[in-house]
Amino acid sequence: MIWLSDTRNLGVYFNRTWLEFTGRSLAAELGDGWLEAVHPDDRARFQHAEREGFASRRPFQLEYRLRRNDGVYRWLLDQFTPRQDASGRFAGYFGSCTDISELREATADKTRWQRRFVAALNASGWIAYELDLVSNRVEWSPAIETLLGHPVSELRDALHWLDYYVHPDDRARVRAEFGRVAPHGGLVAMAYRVRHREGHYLWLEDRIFFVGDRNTEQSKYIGFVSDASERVRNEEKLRRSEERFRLATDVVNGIVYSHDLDTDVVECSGKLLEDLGFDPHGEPPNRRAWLERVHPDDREPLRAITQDLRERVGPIDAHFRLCTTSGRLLHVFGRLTPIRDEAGVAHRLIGFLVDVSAMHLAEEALRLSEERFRLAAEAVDGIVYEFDLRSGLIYRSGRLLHRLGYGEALSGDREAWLALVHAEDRAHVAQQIEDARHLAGSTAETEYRLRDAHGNYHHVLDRLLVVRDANGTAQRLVGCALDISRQKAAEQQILKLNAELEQRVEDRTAALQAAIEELEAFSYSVSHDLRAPLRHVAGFTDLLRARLREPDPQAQRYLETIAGATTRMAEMIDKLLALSRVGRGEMHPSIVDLGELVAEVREELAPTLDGRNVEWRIGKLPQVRADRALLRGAMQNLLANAVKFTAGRAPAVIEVAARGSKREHEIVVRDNGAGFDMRYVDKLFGVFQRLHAPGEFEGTGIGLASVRRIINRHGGRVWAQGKPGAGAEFHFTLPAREKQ
Amino acid sequence: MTRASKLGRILLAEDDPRDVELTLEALGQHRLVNKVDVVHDGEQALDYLFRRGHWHRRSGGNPVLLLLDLKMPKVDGLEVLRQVKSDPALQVVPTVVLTSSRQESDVTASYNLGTNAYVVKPINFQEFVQAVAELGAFWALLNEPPPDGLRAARSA
Repeated sequence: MIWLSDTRNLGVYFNRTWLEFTGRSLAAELGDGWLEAVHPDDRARFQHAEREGFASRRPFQLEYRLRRNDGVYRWLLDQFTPRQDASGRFAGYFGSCTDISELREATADKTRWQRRFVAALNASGWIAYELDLVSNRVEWSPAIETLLGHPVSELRDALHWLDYYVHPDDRARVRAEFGRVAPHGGLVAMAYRVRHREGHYLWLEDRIFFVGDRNTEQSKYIGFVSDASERVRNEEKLRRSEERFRLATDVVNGIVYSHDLDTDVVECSGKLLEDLGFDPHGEPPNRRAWLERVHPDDREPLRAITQDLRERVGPIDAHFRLCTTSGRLLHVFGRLTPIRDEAGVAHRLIGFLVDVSAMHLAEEALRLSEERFRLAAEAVDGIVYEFDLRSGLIYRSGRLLHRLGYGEALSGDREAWLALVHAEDRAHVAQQIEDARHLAGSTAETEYRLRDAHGNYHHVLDRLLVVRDANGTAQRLVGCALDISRQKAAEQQILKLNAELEQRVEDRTAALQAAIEELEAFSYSVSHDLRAPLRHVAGFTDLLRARLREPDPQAQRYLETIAGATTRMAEMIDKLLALSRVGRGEMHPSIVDLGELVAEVREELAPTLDGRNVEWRIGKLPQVRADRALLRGAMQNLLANAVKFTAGRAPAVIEVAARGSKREHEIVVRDNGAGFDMRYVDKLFGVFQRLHAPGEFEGTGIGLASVRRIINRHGGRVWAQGKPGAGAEFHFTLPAREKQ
Repeated sequence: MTRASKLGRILLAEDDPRDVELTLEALGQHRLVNKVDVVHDGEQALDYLFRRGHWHRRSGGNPVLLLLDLKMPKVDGLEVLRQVKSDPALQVVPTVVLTSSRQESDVTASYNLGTNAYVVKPINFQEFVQAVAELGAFWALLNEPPPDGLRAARSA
């Protein structure tokens, strides 16, 4: 389509193609008639450009829509070229038009897509860039300024980007990743930190494509970056959470388990997996593999409770045993919980298993201990009880309960128990319970009678232990009541026998006492009756002597012998009577000063010393409680003996000393006289026992018997020590006076 | 009135004839010439003293001295002593218990009943003589017996 215009821009020529296009006559087109066919929207722009072009007289082009003969507007590209007349003056424009409607349509489509891409990119949060490997120049989409705060102009050098903006720790990695992109031409994704204008670092995710061919000059990367801070933070959180979770399962030695019921995917983790021979990083074990690890006895129950998992509401708990590869038996506790969606359909099971072997062992130990305790209680045939002082409840068990007819176990409070105690013992037992709270020690013991179910009473021995808390407050009484009825019966029997025995001893003693008294009475009577004939012998002998005017010497000697014999016999009888009186008479105790007593006896004995050289050594003597007359008799005997048996010693040494303890005084009379042979010490204190020949020392053989009887009657003891020719010692004790 | 009657009688209650003989001998050796009446048991002694039975016609006053053995048949010496000492007329008669008993209860009982002396007969004859002589001298000679009149006055 060709046209020509004059200097006023009026159409002077339109070729046939134009006229065919518009479907109008040349006459209609000439002048400004053609303008009518230009699209009304383009007319103003057209006229403006045309005016400028005519003014400059330079070539230009215009795109406008022209109505085609069918009424459709078509886009034309009109090339305006200035033309000259023969003289070379501007003569107007020469125009050639091309229908560019199809081309324009394609171009508009492309633009629309470009716009859409940019909008999508913006919406996605991704920022695009292009890196030219040859120039190392980077073209950024403008959003990078918003993200990093740096002006785009500063980000264009790729090397500067890497060495300045990327975090130092990430640079090497980023460089290496870039290197990886080119050879295989695919996609590389990575995350690294980039410095914000304000100084902090942002995590960026970068996805890079290599475009073009290494052999051509067209070696470029196309990339997209986005802010990955949030994602990295979330990933870190997740990682930590998973680590905590893993550590937790490791610590409890457990397994965490997740089963997606829709996809049937099982995931599990935990250290325990290894113990069971599963690879914690490999394929999760299937249900069958699981069941193989379960103790055979526990398989069926476990199968039963996990059968209807989908229908179950709430978690399922199970205790069972697992065999490790090392053959160890683990006690585990497991809990499976179905996870339901809003419609209530279970689509996932999550759960855990924990190794509770240690706990189980402790429980088992406790159970065994309780079992032993129970068996012990059975064995002792007692009632073992625990009385909680705070709640006031008593729990009891033991075979004795059974035997009493109360069954194996009996619980109740204090009153219920006291009701079984014999009425006479009740107050005592109640007191005992009260006292136990404040007991200084930790154990107590009591006896009482307990009623059985048939109303009979049994003696029990109750021993209890007070259990206190850290503050020392009594918390519980733990004890055992043993049936001691049999022992008690034996005890009663013993008491009865003892009583009988005592009665018999008493009877015997009384009989013996009577016999002794009778004997003493007899001995007294005999002594008494002997005196009379003796007196007659003596008396008539004397009368006879008076009658004999001139007695021959022989007769005289006979008479004297008779007189001497009667005198001697009279003495013996007197002593015998005295001895009998010692045993029979009443005691009249009083406080006696032994020192005074000894002095008196010494004075009394003085005439018998007959000028002998006697050295008395009298120690400090105590005051004693005694019958003065009797004690004087004993002392008189002992000192007289000492005097008698030291005859011939010069000096004769007679010593009286005392020593005391809390219980008794011990008095010793010692001499340096004839002494005696210890072989005969037993005979020393017997009646009529003499260790010396009559000619050697005077004596009746009754003195020491009297001494013994006197001391015995005072509750003391007598003994002697001696050696022939080396003196004798006579010891006696008297009970110490009671303190007033 | 003979000297003896003037001296008054001594009553000796003693069952053993040998003791009687020795006692009389002892009394005689000291020239105690009082008339000595001898009875051989407690019953006779009481008859003599209360003028009963064999002695109901006894004349004269009460004896100046009663020598009393404790161990006698029928009625023993303590009973005699008790009756003598509880009788207003006889209680003034000096009584000497002359016995071989040293039994405490005898001694105590005798003194409680009011005896004036208690003498254990010594076995040695000379000592016996001595003892009897002293007793006799004291009670029979030196002691002025209360007059019978006192008895009469009292009993009146």
